[in-house]
Amino acid sequence: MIKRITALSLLIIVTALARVDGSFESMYWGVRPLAMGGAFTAVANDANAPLYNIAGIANLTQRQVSLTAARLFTGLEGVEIGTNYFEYTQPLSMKTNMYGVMSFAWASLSSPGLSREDTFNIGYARYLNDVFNLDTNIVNLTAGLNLKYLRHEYNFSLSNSTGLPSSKGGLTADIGMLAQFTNGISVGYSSKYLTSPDIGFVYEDKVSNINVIGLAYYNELLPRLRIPYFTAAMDIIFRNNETSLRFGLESYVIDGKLALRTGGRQEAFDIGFGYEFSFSNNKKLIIDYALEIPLQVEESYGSHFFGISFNF
Amino acid sequence: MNKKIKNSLLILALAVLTPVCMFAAIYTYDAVVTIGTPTITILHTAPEHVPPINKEMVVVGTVTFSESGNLNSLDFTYTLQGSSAVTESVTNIVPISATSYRFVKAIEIEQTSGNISYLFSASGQLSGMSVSTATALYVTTVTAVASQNVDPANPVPVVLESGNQTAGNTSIVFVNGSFTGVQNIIITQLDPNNPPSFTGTGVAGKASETDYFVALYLISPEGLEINPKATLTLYYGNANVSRLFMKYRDPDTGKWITITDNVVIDTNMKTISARIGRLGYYAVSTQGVTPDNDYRPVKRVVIMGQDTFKFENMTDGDKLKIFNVNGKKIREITSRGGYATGFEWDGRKDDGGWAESGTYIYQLNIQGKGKLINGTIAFVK
Repeated sequence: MIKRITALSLLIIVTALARVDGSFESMYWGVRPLAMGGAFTAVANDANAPLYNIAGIANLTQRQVSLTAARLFTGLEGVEIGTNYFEYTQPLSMKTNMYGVMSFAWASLSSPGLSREDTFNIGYARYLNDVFNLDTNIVNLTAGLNLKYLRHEYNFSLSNSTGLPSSKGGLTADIGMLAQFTNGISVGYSSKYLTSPDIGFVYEDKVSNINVIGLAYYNELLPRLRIPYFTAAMDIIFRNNETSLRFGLESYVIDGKLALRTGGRQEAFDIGFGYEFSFSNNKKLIIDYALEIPLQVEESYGSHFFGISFNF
Repeated sequence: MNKKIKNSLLILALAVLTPVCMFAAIYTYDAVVTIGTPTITILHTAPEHVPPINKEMVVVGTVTFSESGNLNSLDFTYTLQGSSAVTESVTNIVPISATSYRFVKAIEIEQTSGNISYLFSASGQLSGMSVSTATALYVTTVTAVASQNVDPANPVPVVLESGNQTAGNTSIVFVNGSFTGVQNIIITQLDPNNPPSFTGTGVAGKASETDYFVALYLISPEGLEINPKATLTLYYGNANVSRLFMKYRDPDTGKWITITDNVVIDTNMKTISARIGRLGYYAVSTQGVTPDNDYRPVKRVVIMGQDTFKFENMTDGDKLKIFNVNGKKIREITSRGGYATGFEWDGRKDDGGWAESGTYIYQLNIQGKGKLINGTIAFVK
């Protein structure tokens, strides 16, 4: 009990001290990660991996296509912000994971008539146990590289400035590693925007490097509480000498078809669900929904996220 | 009865009844004959005051004949300050009975002080005779001020006539004991198109507020507390609008607050009434509240160090919060600081560092507005 209280206190203190923000740090992509509060670096086992931890796609054995659309901060008159996410994953071999997996993703955040951010991703990840001669009965180790093009644009007719280009962009890369131990514990690491590209219009404006350490625990049936297909996850994010924390929980019920999720961070509380429709030849259609309740922004009905994925 | 006796009785009866019948016939004739000269009477009560702001005087009255007849003419002769006498026909005349007419006469006035003198003259045809008459000379003072000493133990209404006798007046009606000591209550009508330059803490930059005023008054002594509340009625003139609001200027904050206590709008009398608890500046406005867009920044994209986001009309005590797209609050502002007409945000966070380039959400909490004003802005480096 004392350990639990200590851990909870530490969690609260760290969360209270969290201070992270910046351009290209919006985290509104992927319905499942959002429903888990954005704590996904050590989970990263589906089409949402490219923006959280590219190493996670190495474990995918099927092609996946995924679409997400969201409306942020609904209920606030005068605020119109939406996000979109598209991802396609292609294993280089459908028979073995030795050759790795590639992904193509596009993420966008826009406020119509005002501003827009786009991120284009090409990723590759591979299973590394053979390289380091690791025992698969103990750990499954993967790593990946994500090449990114960042682009942001603004409607400068709404400003006093003239003669500026409407958009700026820059190339950069992410790397990720994921170690999944057979006892259910996973450790992930992702370093984003490694080159800190300058995307400034007038002044130098480098996108800050972000380092994320993720921890996760998975159990098919959680002891004592008997929660099926249970996952608990936590991400610790480091950026600009500032630290923040995200956490999430997930469980699959009804023979593993219905996913129930929740999570949070300093600024928001999340809940969501997903349902999996299985077809012949191991094909799957997955529908996800997440609701994020902002804790600091007032009078909002929350942000709503809808996603659909197809594994084939 | 023998024949002689019968004849004697008949003669006696005739001797008695004949004078009675003759008297009765003469009495009936007197009841239907008019004796004397037919007359025309003009009834009118002149307004004591006409405020110059309204730029018009509208008077009403009746013309009454002593018997049936025809009204041939009704003229209105008036003299404005410094001008010659002008005579105009009264054309707005409506019969209200066989011997009475109601009339309305309106004139434009373009003087800010002095008097207006006028009279009516009428002529008609009654019983084949031409009859005419004229009123005495009325004198009305042009003034925008009504003053009255009011004893709270026995309060009397203070009335500033609108100068329009077809509509209502501006007035304030107190109940017993609503303040202490005898107070000189003054109603002053002001020009809503040329309002005073309100000075003091947090009152600048109200142009967008007063743009919506159709009438403006100062009820003084300003700041006098009224408890129990008084009923204030404001004449708003010829404003042809579907929605009107009574507003009060809070001298502490400089904000115009919409009055909501027992508001009654009488479109026939062209007045709006409400219960008030404090004397001061009152206005009739077409806007119940300052429009949301009057607070929002016009320039929604700002380059670091080159400009600032300007949130107009906000005053000390209002609140501005800036959030990044993750919903994290990065800045909160509660006072004007160096910006005279509202709040401004230069792009710095609460810790003094510059915010990152990107989209931000703002939320404005305006005192007394009852809801938040939201929007998006973009800060760029």
